[in-house]
Amino acid sequence: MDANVKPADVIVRVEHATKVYQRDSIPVVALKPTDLEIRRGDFVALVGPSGSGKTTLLNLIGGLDRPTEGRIWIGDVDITALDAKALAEVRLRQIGFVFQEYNLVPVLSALENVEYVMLLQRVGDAERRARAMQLLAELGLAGLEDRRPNELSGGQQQRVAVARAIAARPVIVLPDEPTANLDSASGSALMDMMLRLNEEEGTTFVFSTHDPMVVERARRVIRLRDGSIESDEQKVAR
Amino acid sequence: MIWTLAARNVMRNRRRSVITVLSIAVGLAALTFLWGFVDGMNQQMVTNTTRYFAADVQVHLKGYHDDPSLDRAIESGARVLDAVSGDPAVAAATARLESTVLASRGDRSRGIVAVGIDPAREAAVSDLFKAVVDGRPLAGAESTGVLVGEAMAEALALRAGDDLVLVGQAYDGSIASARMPVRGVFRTRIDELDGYVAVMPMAAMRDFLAAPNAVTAIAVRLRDRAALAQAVDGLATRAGPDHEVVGWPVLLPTVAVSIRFHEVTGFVILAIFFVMAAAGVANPVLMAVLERTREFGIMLAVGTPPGMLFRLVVAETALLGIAGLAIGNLVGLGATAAFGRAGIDLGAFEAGLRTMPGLADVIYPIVRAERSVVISLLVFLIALAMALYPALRAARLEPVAAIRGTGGPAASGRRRAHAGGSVRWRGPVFARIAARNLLRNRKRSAITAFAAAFAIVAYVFLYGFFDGFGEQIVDNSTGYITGHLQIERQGLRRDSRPNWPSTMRTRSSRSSTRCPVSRAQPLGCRHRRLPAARPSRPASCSTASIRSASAASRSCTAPSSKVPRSRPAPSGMS
Repeated sequence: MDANVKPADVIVRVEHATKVYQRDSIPVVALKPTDLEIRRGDFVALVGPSGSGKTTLLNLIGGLDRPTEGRIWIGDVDITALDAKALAEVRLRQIGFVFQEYNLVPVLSALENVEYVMLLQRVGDAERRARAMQLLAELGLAGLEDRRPNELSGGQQQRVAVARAIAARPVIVLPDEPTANLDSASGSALMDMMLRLNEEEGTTFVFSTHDPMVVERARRVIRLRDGSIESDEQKVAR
Repeated sequence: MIWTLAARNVMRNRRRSVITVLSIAVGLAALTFLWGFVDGMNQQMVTNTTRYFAADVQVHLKGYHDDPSLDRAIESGARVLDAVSGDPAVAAATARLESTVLASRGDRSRGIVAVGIDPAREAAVSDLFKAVVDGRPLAGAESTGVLVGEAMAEALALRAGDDLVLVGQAYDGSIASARMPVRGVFRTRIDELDGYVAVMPMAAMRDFLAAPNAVTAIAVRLRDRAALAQAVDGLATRAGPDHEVVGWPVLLPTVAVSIRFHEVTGFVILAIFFVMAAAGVANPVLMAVLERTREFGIMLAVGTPPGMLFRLVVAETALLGIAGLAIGNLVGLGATAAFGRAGIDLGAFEAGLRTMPGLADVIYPIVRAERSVVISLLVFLIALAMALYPALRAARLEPVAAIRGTGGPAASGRRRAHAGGSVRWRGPVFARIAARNLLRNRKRSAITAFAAAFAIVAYVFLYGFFDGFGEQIVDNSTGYITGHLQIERQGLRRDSRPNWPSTMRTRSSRSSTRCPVSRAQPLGCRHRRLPAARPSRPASCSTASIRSASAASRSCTAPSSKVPRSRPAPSGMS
């Protein structure tokens, strides 16, 4: 643990977390005992080959999955001790997700998808609508607010997903291979946009990725192999 | 938000939603119409049988219903009539005097129930006079003569203007006899009335029976027949403890049993429909949830509470149910109302209709709002109940497994099925594919198989039910006295009980049952031609005594000192 980092700056703390799946009654270790801290404003890429445990780690941090052993803290809350309802509340208030595909609710328009999380947070109508419109405009989606996901390109859908993830003002955003299904131009634009949000708004991002372009732009790169952290490299001093 | 999402999800796969809605709507519409038809049939039976003569309620001296005898005549008939008429539930009431007698003309005779009535008051209670098809009805106190049923007229070769000889037991125990002109012939299409009832002014009946003040029944028409139980209680209080108040279900047990049977049949069909509707809803709802597993995973991941997913699935089903109810009720009630006006002519099934007393050829289905509300509510609740498992499944999804598309709780089983691991049978490849596809989603396959199996079971059960019903009627009917086969003199059946429908114009000249009573003058009887009726007091009649007369007619034995008044052993359903 870095002695120069103030405890208040640490927004995610992984303590000796492991994850073992049962596949046809055979235990498969997806994540070996792991310790990790994510600091406020980090722009982190989790990289590694398939099966290295990066998505598992991301899911554990995001409260989508529970560790077999160990603990995970989001701020002051040990999310491994929460029930499903409380965990849903943590995901709603503190975490934003961007998935590789099938990100959006298909029956809602782009604007409604962005509003959805704020609606769950019971943000007032006017404020919700204004923020969603503003975010879509900032992400270059002005004029596409009423389109359903199937009427948007893959890149546009990912941008809507990012807008939804940050609309609720989460502590941390966890994009899981966000550029995997995008062409290079769209992927690059998406990364630029997330980097800008990180720099301008201080939003913390932790990606899992195979994409060298994403790794290149990350300021911290954590490499995983066979379920363990192989290296944790801070590329740019904060 | 939930309802907006639910509505859009319902519209997402329109074809499936339409099929689900139609499966509810078609069944509900058919059921609504069926119930309307059954209700119309039941109402017609009750209305016709009560309005032609039996009335909604009768008041007797205690014990008269079980043993109809002049010994149980009401002595203070006027007082009881006044007391009954004063009840606010009573629309009209009239007194009757009835007795089983032997009616004859020439060499033909049959046992019947003769009833003395007050024509003016009777017209307010029953519609018998409106059923007169030959001659004239009894119009007032001064009317004379007797009205007879069409079937009786045919059996005795009577028509308006002919004379009818009645022989019975007078109030004092002596033999009573009289010759009366037939004033008119009525046709109610109720066999027991048309074949075995003769109606005359009260004064003539009292004179015939030598019973100057006797009344055997007060017949009552209620303002609201549906409030029968309360009315019976109220009238029992007014009539006093020496009297019995009998409602139409007791007066007309055949009608009551028929109605009960119709209702039981309706409930059986209702139950079958509910199971079919349940299967019709369960399958598509489960399918809709399964194919949206990944979407639910995403929704859970972004913070949607599991309970909200549960409510969302239930809301989607509720919308499908509401649409099904709306269309089903619209079509079902619309068709029922339309046929309720136009009627359904079942004249082609006349023989079958005759087994149900009071039923006409044309049935008018009726719309009963409370029935539709109950059925709709039950269908809606069943639809919601069918959504519970898929909704629970959606709410219990593990986000990670759901996003992977492996479906959380059922993931391991589904993975095995996908891999085909559980099917080791090595048949033709297409058969293997089919078998493995069936096992891919075992619950859905089970629902489909259950629905198909239930439909077959229901089909077999319904047929068995009706076969059993028919067989029981035959067994019980033939078991008591009829036997399976009878060897009779040619024409006996027609003479003892004319074939339906008969008309006044199709009289047969064949010989009828010969009965010595009709020809021999019994010793000690008062056999005279009665004069015009004097102003009379009211009288009454129940089907119990009509049956006695019918039994007496069939036996047609030489008269003893008493005309039989006891009722025959019941036949039919036990």
